[in-house]
Amino acid sequence: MYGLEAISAYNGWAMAITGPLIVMSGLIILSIIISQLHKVVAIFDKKAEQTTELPTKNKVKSKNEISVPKILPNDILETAKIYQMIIDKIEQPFELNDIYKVAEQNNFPHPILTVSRLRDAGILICEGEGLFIWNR
Amino acid sequence: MELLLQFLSNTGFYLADYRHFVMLAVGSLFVYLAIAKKYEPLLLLPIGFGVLIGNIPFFKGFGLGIYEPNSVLHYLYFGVTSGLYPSIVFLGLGAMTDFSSLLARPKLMLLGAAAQTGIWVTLLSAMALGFMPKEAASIAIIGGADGPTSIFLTAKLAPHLIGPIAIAAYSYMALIPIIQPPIMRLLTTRKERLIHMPEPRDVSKKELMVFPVVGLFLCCFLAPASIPLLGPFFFGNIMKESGVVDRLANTARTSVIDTATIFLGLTVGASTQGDVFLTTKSVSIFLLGAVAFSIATASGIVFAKIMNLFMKEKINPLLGAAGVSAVPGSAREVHLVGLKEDPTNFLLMHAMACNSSGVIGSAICAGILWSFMM
Amino acid sequence: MSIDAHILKPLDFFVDFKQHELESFAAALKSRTVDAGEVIIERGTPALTFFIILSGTYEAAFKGDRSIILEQIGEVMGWSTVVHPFHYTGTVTAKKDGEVLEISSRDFFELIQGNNALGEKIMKKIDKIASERRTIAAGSQ
Repeated sequence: MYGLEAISAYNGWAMAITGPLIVMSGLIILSIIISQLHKVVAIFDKKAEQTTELPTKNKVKSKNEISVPKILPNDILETAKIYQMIIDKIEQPFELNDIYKVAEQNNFPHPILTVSRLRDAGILICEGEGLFIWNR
Repeated sequence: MELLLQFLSNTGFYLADYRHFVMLAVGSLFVYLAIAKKYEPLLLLPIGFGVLIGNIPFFKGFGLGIYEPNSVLHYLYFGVTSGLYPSIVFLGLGAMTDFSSLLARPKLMLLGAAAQTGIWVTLLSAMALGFMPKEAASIAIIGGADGPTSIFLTAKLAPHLIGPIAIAAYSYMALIPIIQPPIMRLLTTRKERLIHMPEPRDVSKKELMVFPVVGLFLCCFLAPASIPLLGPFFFGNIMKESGVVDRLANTARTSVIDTATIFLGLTVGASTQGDVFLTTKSVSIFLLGAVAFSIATASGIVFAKIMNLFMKEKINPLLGAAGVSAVPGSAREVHLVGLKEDPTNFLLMHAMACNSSGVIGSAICAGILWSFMM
Repeated sequence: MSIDAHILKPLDFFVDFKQHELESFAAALKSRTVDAGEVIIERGTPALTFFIILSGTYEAAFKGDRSIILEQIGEVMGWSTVVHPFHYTGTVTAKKDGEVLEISSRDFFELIQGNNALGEKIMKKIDKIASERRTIAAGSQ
């Protein structure tokens, strides 16, 4: 079979119309999507920035709540007064880890050394099973 | 004496006919062009030597020929008939393609779609010339100007035509500098060729990483039959752009694609056995291939001109010629034709955008044609 | 032999290239020593390799007995590899022993395919050099 007869018999016209329409519409959609891609990426970037900024803001907030000197005083009682602010935020008895967390969030200098000094001074008392109480 | 006569009757000298010599001459010409003239050696040497291997006459039934089951060549040829080599080539292509210029100017993607018109016009022409629908579809895909895609579709639809279609597809890709510039000049005015394209915007790394995922979903949901080509293609691209598997990306764009190219070229060449290849069908395929490729070039240019009727910011219509998927050959030609008119008009980056969308477009067309013929 | 990006940095050709661009280009370049008297480019043959001078003196002879001497580090030879007419328009002979960097046209176009922006930057530079060279060659009769 030859000529127009063959084209009609093999459904050629339908293929030659549908085929390019599918390709064209597919690539038009793809081009629309990629033309907006940089905007979508920018939105995600912004969101990511916001989520990374959040803890910083929290830090600032808590900094406002607890102001910590860069160097803690030599006097252990003065130091204990500063750490009292942490103890007020956590429930007794507590684990040392709870103190470390709040101390770290508020940029307390050398929390491990300080906690050790507080234990030596009998201000932090071990209750057993890893729990501690604050000796007011 | 009888043994000697029997042996002699099994030699290539005894079994040869004129078709073998014609094909051996063609193979030798390819090898000569590749080595002496250094003309497309990466394609012509494996194909040319493959033609020589495939056209040495042998006694049928020994399990030697590429079409004989259990022969070594037949096993190697499995990579062609199964579509394995084209998929691997696409993996490497993805790992070497930069989509930044396409992402910077997405509307150029439409030129990649428009240039596929050559495929559909050729489909009708081939049917009109008496080819069966599956054969016509395989011939039509030559208009995509993509060797691996042509081989892939032909392997699926009309495996008996792989030889002539592959040779035609690769020949026209190699002939881009001869075929495309006259069509470009014929269909554009000097004023149009002088149109400067604005500098493309910078594209972020994140966009480049998201694109292969978006592209894969959209293209493969639309034409699932293109998964074997576009799946590896976008995978290769995400390996390149993510930067987390540089070693794999580098292997894909060097050793892997090179290995596939060697076996693809060699076995396609060997599949052109004189008795299978030298037919009137092959001549028609070559003619139709030329028509397909020329229409593809022309339709891209004409579509760019039509776009200019509706757009404020004009596109240089030469870019339409780069909508075929011969990367980066056609982009280079567009760039050079533009430079000839105006030495300050650099179209390369913009042409690369059309070129990469052409790769995607022709793979989608192959998928659509395959599903039409199922 | 592949080369390091730091070799390219001081060359005029690469003066405005960013570090990652230098690295991409360096990965595609190979260095090669050239002996005095060696013909590295032959007029009329297919232009398949592009060269950048690292050391040595080279004479480029064009049609009609015109010739120019190339000896500046970073000067390029064989620009027909990437622009029309794709065959060498002159013959380049080494006058002294030297070293050149070379890139094949295939590697060059793969580089463009893999990094469009870098490709265009290099093409612009080569085109500028090519037009300067054409003027010089036409004028030095």
